[in-house]
Amino acid sequence: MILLSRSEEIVLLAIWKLEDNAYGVTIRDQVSRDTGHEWSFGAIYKPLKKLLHRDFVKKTGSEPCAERGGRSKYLYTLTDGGKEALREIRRIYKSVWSEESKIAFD
Amino acid sequence: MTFRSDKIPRPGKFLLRLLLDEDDYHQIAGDFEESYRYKITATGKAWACLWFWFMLSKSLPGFAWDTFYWRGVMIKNYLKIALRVIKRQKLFSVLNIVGLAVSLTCAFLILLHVKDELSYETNFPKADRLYRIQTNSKYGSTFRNWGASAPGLGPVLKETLPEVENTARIRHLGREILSYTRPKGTAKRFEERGGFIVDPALLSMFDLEFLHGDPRTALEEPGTMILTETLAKKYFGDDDPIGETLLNENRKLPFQITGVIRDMPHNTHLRIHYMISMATIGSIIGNPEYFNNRTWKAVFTYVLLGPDRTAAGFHAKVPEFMKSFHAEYPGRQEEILLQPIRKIHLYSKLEGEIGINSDIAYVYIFSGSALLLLLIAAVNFINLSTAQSFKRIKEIGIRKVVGARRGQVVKQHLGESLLITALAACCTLLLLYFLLPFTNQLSGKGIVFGDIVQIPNVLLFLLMLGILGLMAGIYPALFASGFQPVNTLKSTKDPRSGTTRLRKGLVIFQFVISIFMIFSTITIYRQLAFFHDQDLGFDKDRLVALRLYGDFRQDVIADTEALKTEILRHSAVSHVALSSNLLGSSFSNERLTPVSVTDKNTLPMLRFMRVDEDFIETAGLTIVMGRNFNRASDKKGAYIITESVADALNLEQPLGVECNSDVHGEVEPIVGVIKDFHYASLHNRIEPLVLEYRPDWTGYLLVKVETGRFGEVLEFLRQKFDEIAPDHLFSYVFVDEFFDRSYQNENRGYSLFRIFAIVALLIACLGLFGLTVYAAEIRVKEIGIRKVLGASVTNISVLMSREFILWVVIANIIAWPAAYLAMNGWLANFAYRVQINVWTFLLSAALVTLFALVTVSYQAVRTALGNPIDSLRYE
Repeated sequence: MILLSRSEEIVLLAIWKLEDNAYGVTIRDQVSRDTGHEWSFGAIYKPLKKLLHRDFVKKTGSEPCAERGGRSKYLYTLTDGGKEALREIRRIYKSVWSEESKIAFD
Repeated sequence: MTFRSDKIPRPGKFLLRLLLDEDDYHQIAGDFEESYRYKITATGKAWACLWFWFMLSKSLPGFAWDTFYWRGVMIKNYLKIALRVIKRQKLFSVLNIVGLAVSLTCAFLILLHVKDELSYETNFPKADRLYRIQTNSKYGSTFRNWGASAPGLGPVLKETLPEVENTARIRHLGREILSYTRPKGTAKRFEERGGFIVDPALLSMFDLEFLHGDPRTALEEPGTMILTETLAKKYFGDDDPIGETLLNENRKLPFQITGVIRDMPHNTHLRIHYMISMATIGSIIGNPEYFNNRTWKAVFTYVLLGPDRTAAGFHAKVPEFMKSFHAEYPGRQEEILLQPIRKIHLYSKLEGEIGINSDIAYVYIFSGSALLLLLIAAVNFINLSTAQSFKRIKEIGIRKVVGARRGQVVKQHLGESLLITALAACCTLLLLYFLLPFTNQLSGKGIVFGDIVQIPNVLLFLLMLGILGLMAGIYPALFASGFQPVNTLKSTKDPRSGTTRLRKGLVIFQFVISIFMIFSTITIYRQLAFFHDQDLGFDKDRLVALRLYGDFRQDVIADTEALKTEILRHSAVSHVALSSNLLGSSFSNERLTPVSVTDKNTLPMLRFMRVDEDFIETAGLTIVMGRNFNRASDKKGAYIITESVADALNLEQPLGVECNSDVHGEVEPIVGVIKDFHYASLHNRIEPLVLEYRPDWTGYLLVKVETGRFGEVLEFLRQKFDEIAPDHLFSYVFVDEFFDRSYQNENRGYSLFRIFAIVALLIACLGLFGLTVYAAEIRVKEIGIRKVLGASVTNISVLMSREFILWVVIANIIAWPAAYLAMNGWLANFAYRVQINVWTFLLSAALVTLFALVTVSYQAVRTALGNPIDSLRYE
């Protein structure tokens, strides 16, 4: 069973949503939009490094581009393991929340 | 929008750079920049900036944690490796640490000494405004630069010159006998130095701190005295001394104690032990009027300049001032100048100094030596480390392959050298703790280990450590980090190549310094031996001088014969005489005026000494013309002059010339001429000396004793004195010892220099030893093969040591001229000196070569004796 921390999970989802345009800036924007409050880069990179380390995402250098002042940037994409992890998470959520209608929310 | 303004703020960039490694930095800074630019277009620059700093401050803790964590991991690894290296290469580590520790210790001790020398007078809050008056006088063709000045000068200066805020005069007393008699008790009697007659203004000018008594009134009345804490304890114990009376026995004057001050700091030229009020002067010098005299160099005048006044302003007014000051003495050629008190200790060598001052030259010499020692140790370190880094070539290669950048390898190696320096520092502290009492003895200072532990000293020490660690570590670190991983891992290259030339140079440099120091030590030693053994023209080795004072002195002078016969009864005593001064002390400056000369301003200053009829024979002086003094015919006084006096006064036929004296104004004839002799230290040329027959002006009994029997004679004399004058303090000096005190600077310099020389040689040999061991290690197979092919032990030993010995020879060639020039410069300080001879060159060379040879050949022979199987079988 794969367990990810909440922030890792959110970042992983953001990368998945961004498809082939996931890098520092876009990931932060996406995560901020998803969660509704602004994240710092520090808060993004920490889970990102863990994900890299666990081989859920991989990074590739892009072509040098104008908005980085002629430097290349690193693009992050999900690996198969990453996709597997997301599926796993969804499965767990589903089963954990399967009887949600019975729980009373105020 | 300009291109520049959309970059993120520099400090932020710098912070990121500091915390992130290269890769992450570019990525994250790029992210920041992109978002920042977007923010600028969206919200404007100010908001963007605010946003940036907010984001950055939120991100930084995370980055920092990561960085430090991973750095910590690396540091742990570095430390582990470093300790392993130290452990694995025990010999090299020990050589390194010992070399560093010894040189650090020496350098630090020297710096402490130098710091102390430079700190003189700084304890007086007004030191920067305090000056002593120096008087430069010209008498005929002779010059005298006096530290002393006329007693009438101080008050007039204060009155006339606006620059002068206050003045104080002090007069130095010699060795005085003080005693305290308790009611219904026995007397405590001691001979005291450090007595001064002072103006009350001195107390406020030097801010002397009172423990008892009132500084405003303590020195107003005649017959009052202020003691230092130590002296008060000595006479009165824990009792309150205020109001008690001390008796000055040689002057027969009672003094009332009106104050006790804290002891003077050790770093001052003004070593006051007790002070007597200036109002007492009348009863000490006889005529109080004489104390307004404007020509007599009788006191030291200290001047406090106003807060915003300069010495230059003072000097500008001096010529006019002196004209009016000496209006009644036409033809007098004299000027005064201000000598900052802070310069007295290291620069002043004037006539009539209170004590022997140190010399700035020694401060330079010592600091230079400290630096050289550190340099030698650093060189040692460089040599040993670069040699060692070949052994770690694989480690460095692997590190690089795994991804270490050059900077990281440099940091790792620098860190290691700092670690070794730190270990050396621990040894240094231990060494310092145990060596301090010993070095205090050498330098004549009272530094305690507790005194050293002060913030400035600790900082100094850390600074030295840092500099040494970096100096020693930077080259090996750069060197080691420069290996190409491919080459290091192939490891087919001859590991000796590349640095041999540098190492050779460094070893030679070390030996140059060693030879230089040994050469200097030998020369200094020879000069000191010369001081000691030089024929002074009189017999200093067998003379004891006994102090006479008070009633006993009067008795002795009234009937000298009785005492002399009594003393001469001892079989070891051959002569007894009376003299006014100790040979080796500074004699009085007076003029001798032949009655035919009218203007005595053209006459030179001469040295005077008063003696009785036995003095010439006792001192072993040679009469070249005329006769000795005669008790019967010279009752009214007579002179015997040295040959140089005859020259100075231009007397072709000196015998029988009647002469007038400055001091008592009586006319007496010259009855004899003696050969010049060294009655003062050999620093200066012999000055003309006049002996005057005046037994009633003497105060020392000179006793000539057979060599080796001083002990029994002193015991005999003590008993005799106790018998004749039971209350008389028995105090004696050996003339040769007293004479040698003039050379205390040179002696001290020699003791310290000798140690530097040994340490320098030791460290250089440590380094050489390390290199030989290393050379033997890398050539172990070669030697094995040579032995198998039939080389003898001698062959191999020679092979191993030839190169090293060649280095030492080159070092000699470089060091000789430098040392020769330096030592010639030093010797120029002395009017009488040794010549640097061939033996000095040969001895220094031989000594160093011998040490190097022993060091090298130990390892060479050991290698040569090794069984070739051991070195070859692992293939």
